[in-house]
Amino acid sequence: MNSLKIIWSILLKDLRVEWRNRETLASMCVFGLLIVFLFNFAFESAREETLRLLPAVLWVAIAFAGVLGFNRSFSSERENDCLEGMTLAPVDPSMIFVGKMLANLLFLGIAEVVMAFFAALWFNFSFLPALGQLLLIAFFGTLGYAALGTIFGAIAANTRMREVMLTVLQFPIAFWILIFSIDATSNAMRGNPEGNWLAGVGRVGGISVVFTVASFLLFEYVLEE
Amino acid sequence: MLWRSNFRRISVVNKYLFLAYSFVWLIFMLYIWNLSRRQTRLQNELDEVKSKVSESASTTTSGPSGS
Amino acid sequence: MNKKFPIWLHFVLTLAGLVITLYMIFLYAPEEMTMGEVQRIFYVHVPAAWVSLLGFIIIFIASIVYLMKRSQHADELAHATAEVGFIFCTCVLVTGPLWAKPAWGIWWTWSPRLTLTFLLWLLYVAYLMLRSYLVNPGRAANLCAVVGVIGFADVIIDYMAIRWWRTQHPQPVIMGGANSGLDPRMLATLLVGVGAFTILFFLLVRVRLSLAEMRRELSEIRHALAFKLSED
Repeated sequence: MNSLKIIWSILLKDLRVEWRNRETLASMCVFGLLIVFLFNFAFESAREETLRLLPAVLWVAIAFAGVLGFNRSFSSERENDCLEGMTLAPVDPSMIFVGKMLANLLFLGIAEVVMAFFAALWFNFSFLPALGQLLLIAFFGTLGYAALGTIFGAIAANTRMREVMLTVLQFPIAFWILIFSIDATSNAMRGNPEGNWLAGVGRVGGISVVFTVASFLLFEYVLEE
Repeated sequence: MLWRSNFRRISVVNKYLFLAYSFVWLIFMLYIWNLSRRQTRLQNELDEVKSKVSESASTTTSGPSGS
Repeated sequence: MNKKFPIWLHFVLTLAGLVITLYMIFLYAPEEMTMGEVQRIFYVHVPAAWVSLLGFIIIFIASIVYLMKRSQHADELAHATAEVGFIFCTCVLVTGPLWAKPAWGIWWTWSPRLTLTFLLWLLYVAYLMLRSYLVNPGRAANLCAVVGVIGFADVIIDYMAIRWWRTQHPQPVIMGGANSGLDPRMLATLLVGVGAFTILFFLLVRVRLSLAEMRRELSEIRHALAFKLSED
């Protein structure tokens, strides 16, 4: 029960801080939208081709918006010496991880909804037919991505070039989460021509769970002195 | 000159062979040189600190030992 | 290990291994039918790829050992291996295109070996960048060990994912099918190359470790000196 309280308090703290000026959320949405807008505008004429690229465009936008969000999530901690506070607090560091990860997941999720809405609008494509499947893919993909972003954000907060360090760590390792998500999303959007949609979702889920569990288990070493 | 005409006769694919092996050599030489430089620097620092230690050991009782 | 296997002997073995390998590459292995002489790059490309993978395996094991036992030796081994492994990995990525272009007309392909090596290279870069940009030396070993573990998990996932991806999006097998239909003399040369490169790898790691040892000695003496000065 105590663990849940810790998770909840961290999550609530991040939500409350964000609610005050909503900077992180706003910049994530704007950044993600910019990428979607860019692709849509540049390749407007070749609609068929553009639709094929839509899953990749969306996930690239999510990837970059995510990294932006993860950076801000830890930079505010560092500015107020909260990282030291967390290190010294007599709580299980893994619970801190879960709290921060859920906050990151939530913010990125909100940004994703915004991006998807405008993508559907601009690309004239409805996500509704495959909505359940897409939600599953989005959830698992974002989960793994946020887990990696949380632990790497904490690691990068200890370095001189924080934003760059997070990106350099995040992309090679989260690469397959993104690739499988793109693949599964593309399959879902085309109405599952290969039939086996569960396998696609399973792949994304499998990789994400592996990375989430690994990050969860290793986070205590990141906060240790 | 004899060597120049021979070189022209060698097919262009061997140019890539030469480049590949040269690169491998070069990168290892560079790394070894880098290691050697770091070792020299570390050795100098070690010598400097060791001399400071022997300095402070010789001036045991009074005064700062000029660090 | 160091006392039982003196470094001069290691160096002699490395030299012998490399010379024998060179002999076999150029004077023993037969010329390839379609590609000609340029195929001999393969005898450097593949052993280097194997050694870079071995390097990351060592980083993984050393990272786990560090997280479990807090052994500074493990941490130093991981760092040394990362540097040397990075050098070999770069060799693979440079010799690859230099072989591919004259042999098949393209500079690059996302074949399984090259894709894996590229991702491995990115992981090496990430690890080394983390090492050099850390401002808190107390945490350095911890953080790098965490990255070493997650990185290796990623390598395993890379391997499986690339294989699966290639069943979905098959490519004409160009560089990947190296072991299919290999002349026994070529195979022998390849194996000798792998052996020689591995010995070279360990020699370089050893030399790099001596640097780490010096740094450790330096920091210990500095601490002792500072302590002593503070007492006066």
